[in-house]
Amino acid sequence: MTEAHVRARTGLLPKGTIWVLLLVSVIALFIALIGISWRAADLAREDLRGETVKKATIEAQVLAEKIDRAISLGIPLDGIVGFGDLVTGMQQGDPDLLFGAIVSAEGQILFSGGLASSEFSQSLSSPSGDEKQSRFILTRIPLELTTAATGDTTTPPGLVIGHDRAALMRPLTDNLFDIGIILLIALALSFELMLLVLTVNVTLPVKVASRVLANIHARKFTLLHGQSSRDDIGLFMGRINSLVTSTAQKAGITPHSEREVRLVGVRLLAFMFILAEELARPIMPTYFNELSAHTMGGQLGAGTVMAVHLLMVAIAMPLCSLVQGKVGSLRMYLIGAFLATVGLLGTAGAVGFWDLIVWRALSGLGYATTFVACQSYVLDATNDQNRTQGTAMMVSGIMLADICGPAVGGIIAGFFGAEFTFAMGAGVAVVAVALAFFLMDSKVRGDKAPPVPTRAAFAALLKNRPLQILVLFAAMPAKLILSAFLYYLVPVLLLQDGATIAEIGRVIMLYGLVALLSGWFAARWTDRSKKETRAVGIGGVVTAVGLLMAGLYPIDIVVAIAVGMLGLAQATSIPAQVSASLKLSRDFTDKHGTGPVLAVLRLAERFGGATGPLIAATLVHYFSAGQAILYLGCGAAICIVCFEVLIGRMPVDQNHDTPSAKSEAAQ
Amino acid sequence: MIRFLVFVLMVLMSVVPVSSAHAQTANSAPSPDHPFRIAMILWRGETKVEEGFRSYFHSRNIPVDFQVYNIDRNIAAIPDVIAQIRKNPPDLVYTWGTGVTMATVGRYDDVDPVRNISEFPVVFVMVSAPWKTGIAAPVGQTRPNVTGASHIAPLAAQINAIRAYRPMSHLGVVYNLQESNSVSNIADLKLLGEEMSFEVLAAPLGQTGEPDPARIPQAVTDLAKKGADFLYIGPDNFIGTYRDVLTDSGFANGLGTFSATELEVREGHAMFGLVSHYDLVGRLAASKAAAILMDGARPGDLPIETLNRFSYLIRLSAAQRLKLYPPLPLLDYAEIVQ
Repeated sequence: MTEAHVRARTGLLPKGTIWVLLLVSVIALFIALIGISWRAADLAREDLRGETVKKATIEAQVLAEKIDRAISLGIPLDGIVGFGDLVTGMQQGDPDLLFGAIVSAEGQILFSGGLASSEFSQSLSSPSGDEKQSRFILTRIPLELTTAATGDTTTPPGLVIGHDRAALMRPLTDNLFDIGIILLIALALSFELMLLVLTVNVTLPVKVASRVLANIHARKFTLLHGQSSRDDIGLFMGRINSLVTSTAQKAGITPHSEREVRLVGVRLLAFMFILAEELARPIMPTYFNELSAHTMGGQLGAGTVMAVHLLMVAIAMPLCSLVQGKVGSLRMYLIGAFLATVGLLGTAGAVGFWDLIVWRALSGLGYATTFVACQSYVLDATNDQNRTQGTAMMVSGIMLADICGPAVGGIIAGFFGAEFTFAMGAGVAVVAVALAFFLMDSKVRGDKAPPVPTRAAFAALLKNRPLQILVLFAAMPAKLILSAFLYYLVPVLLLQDGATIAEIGRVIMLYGLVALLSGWFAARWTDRSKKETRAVGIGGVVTAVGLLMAGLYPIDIVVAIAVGMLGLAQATSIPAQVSASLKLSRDFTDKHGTGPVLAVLRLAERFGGATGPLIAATLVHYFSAGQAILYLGCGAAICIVCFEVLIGRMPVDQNHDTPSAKSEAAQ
Repeated sequence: MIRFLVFVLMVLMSVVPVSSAHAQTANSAPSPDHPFRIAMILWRGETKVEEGFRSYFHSRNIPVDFQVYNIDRNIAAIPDVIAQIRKNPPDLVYTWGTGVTMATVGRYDDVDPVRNISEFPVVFVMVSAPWKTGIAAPVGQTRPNVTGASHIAPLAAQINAIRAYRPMSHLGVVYNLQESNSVSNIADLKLLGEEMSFEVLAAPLGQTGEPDPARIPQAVTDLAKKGADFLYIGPDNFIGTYRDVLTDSGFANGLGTFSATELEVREGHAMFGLVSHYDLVGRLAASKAAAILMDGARPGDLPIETLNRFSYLIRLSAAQRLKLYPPLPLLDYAEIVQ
């Protein structure tokens, strides 16, 4: 293949007849869909207009009855007071109602409310045929007044109310974000499934086939194609296997079966178990608050329940790592997914604070167990050359679930309620159990347990002042803020501000989305500049600024920006913390490896995460949610100032290479 | 010292009969032959409050024999009434209004066992400010033989009620300086004015003794000139007695009158008010009397309270006379008095 050919095939636009056909069909489909959508929207508008007119007629009748009552009490029409207040009160129940007016037969506006009369007087005087062009849907009914009230025997005044014409499309626009989220989730799931199917059926068989063919080409006949598939590749390689077997027999060689580990399965499994937990993320504080209202006064109870879950994760992970070698990845994953299922089902049906604590602890145990199972699977299925790739595969599954879970969970909770959402999480965990049988390769035993925090690592931490500073002022606060702000305060604040559960889910989704989009750039900058502590500092500053902004201006848009900033900050800071911790404990890692240090760092982080909801709940108990965020922001600012001041005085070798943060980030 | 010992002895003597009589009434069920005996000391004859009080017992078939003592607005008659009550001891004493109650039971920290009733349980009604006037003991202290029902809506709710009708920045009040409950109410109104941004234009009467009703019209005219938006009738027996003089003067000066009590709107010409129904106040007081008589409850253990719902009354004839018609939203919940 010439260089020109390569250039041509790697150009920006695809070439060839098939691509032209694809382009034409996409454009044709696009035009057809636009036309169908336009027509459908037009028909929907007509239907909705009928509904709006019905509603408007009822509202106009209610207004007219009130005026009639006033008149019947002896209040003259020109003595009527408070018509505007009446319309304003009605607007609270129907935000699409823009104005109401009493208009004389001559078209003079006697009373009005909602909008200034100058804003709609033009529309009232336009011919009825032009009303479709108006921004209002007008509903007119006559007022049946006694002549004594009006002083006029021929021309009774009328009542007109105007609704927003744009409101006709509100059912569509209100659900636009939900539709977008569902589309995104569908795309993500399709991508996951496509990746799995292609990898298992095409990529891996072809990879092994090329190795077998190369072996034949080298006249060795020692490899058989062991990647079973029932398609053309499988049939072809079956014949090749027969050929190799017969040739090897003649040569007196015993060939062995060659196959690749299906590592891609762990991506979907990681996605599933995180998704099971993340679905209910936007509703947790409120749901737990309701259940613990009679035991621990609501907010504190909810904080305690969330803290117990995170604490269980923190404690269970090292313990699971200790028994991982004896149990194996598949069994470990099945046990974990089963525990998560029971925990989530129990949470869905919880009746009070104490049983809720038990169910959430069980969920935490299940979460930790499945996490460790996936970690050990990756460790066992990879070697030093492809471990980064394997870990990245698992991390990407987790991040995808972090993004999709709260958003889709918010929609489910909005339509079906909190209990159903937890039950749905349990359903996902059950599916994960079934999938684990197919996706976890039986070739991988999974007896390489993730590193556990050793006594030597703790001792090294106690002697290492810079590492202590990193753990105390960066690692622990980072996870504390994540669980306090994102998991607890954001849902509470947004709900108080009148946001829907689906909107809360979308805001929480921003965290994962921003972290995913910015993570690669942040890690690249950190790797190139080798300024890990600086990256940690930048992450801390961005977090503190975001929280202070949200605390000072606790409105939806600022909170959403702060969540995005937290995503950016954590994407910048967390991998840098891993690199920095290894660099700061170089003497220890040279002798004992990086695992124990990272395990200590993770344990400290998780304990920080467990205290987050408790601190947030205590702050909300005494202050408002906005003030709680402000105080949390002050805490974040203090931590990062302490970190910068103290770490700046410590000698840190900036030129020392560290293992890739990305490969270690998920451990 | 001897006076002190005598006082202590008298207090002890007065407390013991309360306890023993109390125990006796609680343990003995009433019958038509032996009904409970309630002595009612009234300011100006029977009102809807007493109607509610009586109907509470009647509807529950609790036999009660009422001894009514109407002092007909003469507070000086109270000592004679107390003497008559002591000659014919009842199971419970009922008092109407701040003046009557104060004269009957005295201040919580200044009880004279000779002049005041301390030996019988007392249930009062229509006391607008029991704590301010000292009829009720402050929080943390108890008054063993006194409880009752108040009838005035919280002042902030009253001001909001006025502003639901029309904007108000100046409130004109004609009141009797000789009535402690009225004076205390005006002081509270002035304090609230700073918080809710309105000014109380006060026109006190009775600086030199009994107030003169003939001075009411001039006081109202002065208030109108100072820019009052409305006239206000609070808990004030004198103004209550001459309410028509006040409201007529209001009409003459284009001022509507707001009342904190029911009768001024229902039977007088006050334009509107946020009030407790007298009948319900009577029933609330009766529930406390029943708890004392039937269940043996100590009066001091029963809370002094007011109703938790009030009625918005509008007298339409007054509104029409002033062409100050009620706003449409008010018609949804106000009770219209024609």
